[in-house]
Amino acid sequence: MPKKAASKSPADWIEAYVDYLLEHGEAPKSVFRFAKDQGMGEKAFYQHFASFDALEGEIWKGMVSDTVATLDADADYPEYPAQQKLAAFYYTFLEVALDNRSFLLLRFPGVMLVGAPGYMCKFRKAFTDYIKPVLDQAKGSKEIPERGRLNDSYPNLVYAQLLFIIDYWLKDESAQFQRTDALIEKSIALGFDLIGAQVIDSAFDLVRFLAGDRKSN
Amino acid sequence: MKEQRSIPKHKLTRAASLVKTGAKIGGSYAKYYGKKIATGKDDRNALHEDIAEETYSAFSKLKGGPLKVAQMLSIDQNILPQAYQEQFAQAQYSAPPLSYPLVVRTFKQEFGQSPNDIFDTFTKSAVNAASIGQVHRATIGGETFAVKIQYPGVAESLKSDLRLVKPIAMRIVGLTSKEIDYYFDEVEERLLEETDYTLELKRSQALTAKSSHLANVHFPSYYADFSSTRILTMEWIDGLPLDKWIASEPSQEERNRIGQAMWDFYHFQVHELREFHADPHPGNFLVTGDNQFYILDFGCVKELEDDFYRDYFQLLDMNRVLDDEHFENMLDKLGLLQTSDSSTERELLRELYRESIELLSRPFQRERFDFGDESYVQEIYNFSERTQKDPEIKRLNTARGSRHAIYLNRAYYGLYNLLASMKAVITADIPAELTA
Repeated sequence: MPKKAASKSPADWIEAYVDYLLEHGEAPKSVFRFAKDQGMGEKAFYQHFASFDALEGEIWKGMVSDTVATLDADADYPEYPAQQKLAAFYYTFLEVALDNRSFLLLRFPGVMLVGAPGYMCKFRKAFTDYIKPVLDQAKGSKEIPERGRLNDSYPNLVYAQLLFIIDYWLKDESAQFQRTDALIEKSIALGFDLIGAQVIDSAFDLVRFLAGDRKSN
Repeated sequence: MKEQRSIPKHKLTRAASLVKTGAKIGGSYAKYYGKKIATGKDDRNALHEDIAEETYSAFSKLKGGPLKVAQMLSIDQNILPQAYQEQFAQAQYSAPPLSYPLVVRTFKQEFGQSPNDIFDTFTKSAVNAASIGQVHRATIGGETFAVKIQYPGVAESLKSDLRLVKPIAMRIVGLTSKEIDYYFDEVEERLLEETDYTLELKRSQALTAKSSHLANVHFPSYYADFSSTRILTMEWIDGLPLDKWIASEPSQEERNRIGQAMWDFYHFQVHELREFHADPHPGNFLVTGDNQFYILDFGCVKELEDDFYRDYFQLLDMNRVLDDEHFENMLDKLGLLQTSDSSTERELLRELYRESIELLSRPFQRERFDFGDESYVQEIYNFSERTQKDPEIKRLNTARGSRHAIYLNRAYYGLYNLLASMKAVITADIPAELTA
């Protein structure tokens, strides 16, 4: 039984929770039990988190905010074109995620499914908050064309790419995860090529044409 | 299974793009035979050009293996017709670059520091592309470095790439898998070595140290502290690649001096060290503003075993070559004649090899040899055209010999090509031990 601590910071709670999760392979049965095991009352837990889901949300969000903090500290980063910013984000994120690899292994691929757990909302929001200004920059610099409302779907597409990369990385057994690095280079290049190319415009045009067709018939 | 799980997407897209090439090559052949029947004219060159362009464009989209193989094939005139070589010679210039964030990541993985922590300046984009990596320019104080960084996962994807390229190569040269295996085994071994920059560093340092006494030849310094398996740092040399230098119309005297230096460098490595720089590509030789000749890139190095060396280079002794029995004996040893050959086939091949040896060893046989002699180049060209077109010879002449000869031939073809484009006059001799 751990010693009774005077108080626990959110970070302490998160660490204890992840320890528990990784050792038992599942979340604790109740906040009460978990807090008691930590030598604390459950009130001390609720002071910081409303639920285990809320706590997990903080872990996910934390990975994004740690990544962004590292990027912001880099002198070169602000000068990158959008495409490189995104690459820098992915590479830095994987560095950060390396500390949480076991946790991610336990949680993926469940989070990829439709109806992802609530804690993923925070992750998604943290990431889309980060990526929106980057995409705006890309529009400003004409790296991606202005497409009106279609642009609004880009943050979600990039988020899907992030999940895809994490999933690949977790299965990657190459030395230093070099295959994931290659995947990032290639999928970003493809992503920007697709967004930039006429393909989407033409496809959109065709869909609009067909939709109009049906209406007139 | 591990392999299955980590490859899918990657390999599938690669396979798809190569299958497309295969289909297109089929299409080009159909076009060629169609045209031939329709016009009765043999437009073989146009056919080769068509196919070369398509094959090249598929290869160049893939990093690593295929691009290397493309370059490799481009230099072996035995295997590829002229049109392919021209297309493939471009290979090194068209590799899409690594993003700067990935360069930073690679540095952090290899040294725990980013490029800016190590160097005073470091170019954000590549100044030069190599087939499995790219080169950045960096400085510390007054010193300038060339830092070569490898594409991620090259070593791992090489094998699967080669497997994908093989059927296409077979189609181009018309060989069966069994016949071409020895070729691919050798190429795979060399290519995998090329992905190990630690090995390249060691070889560069060792070979340049051993060759440092040669006149008129210079090498950049290599820096072990800034090198690892995926990063190689050497001294930056400001100079023109050999082809550009030749285009700048240097004097005959300078061309002779540098041509001779190049010949001596190869001669020393092949015949003394029996370990040689096997990539005589114009981009690997630089001439500086004050006409200093630099040799770069010891990524591809071939070592020769003594037995093979002796069997192979005794062919330079025309006394032995002109004696039928002795000559056939030598060809048997080298695997150029096989037990399955009938006696008429043996005779045909013997005369063919004799002719090619006489032709290719000519620079060795004379005191001074002028590579600017266009009739010599034309003679080689005619010879290879004639042998490539003769169906009987073509059937017999493919995929014979020792795997060790592949890179040796490649080196000498490359060397002859470069000397011919320099129009250099050089002095060559046959190592004494071979005629003894």
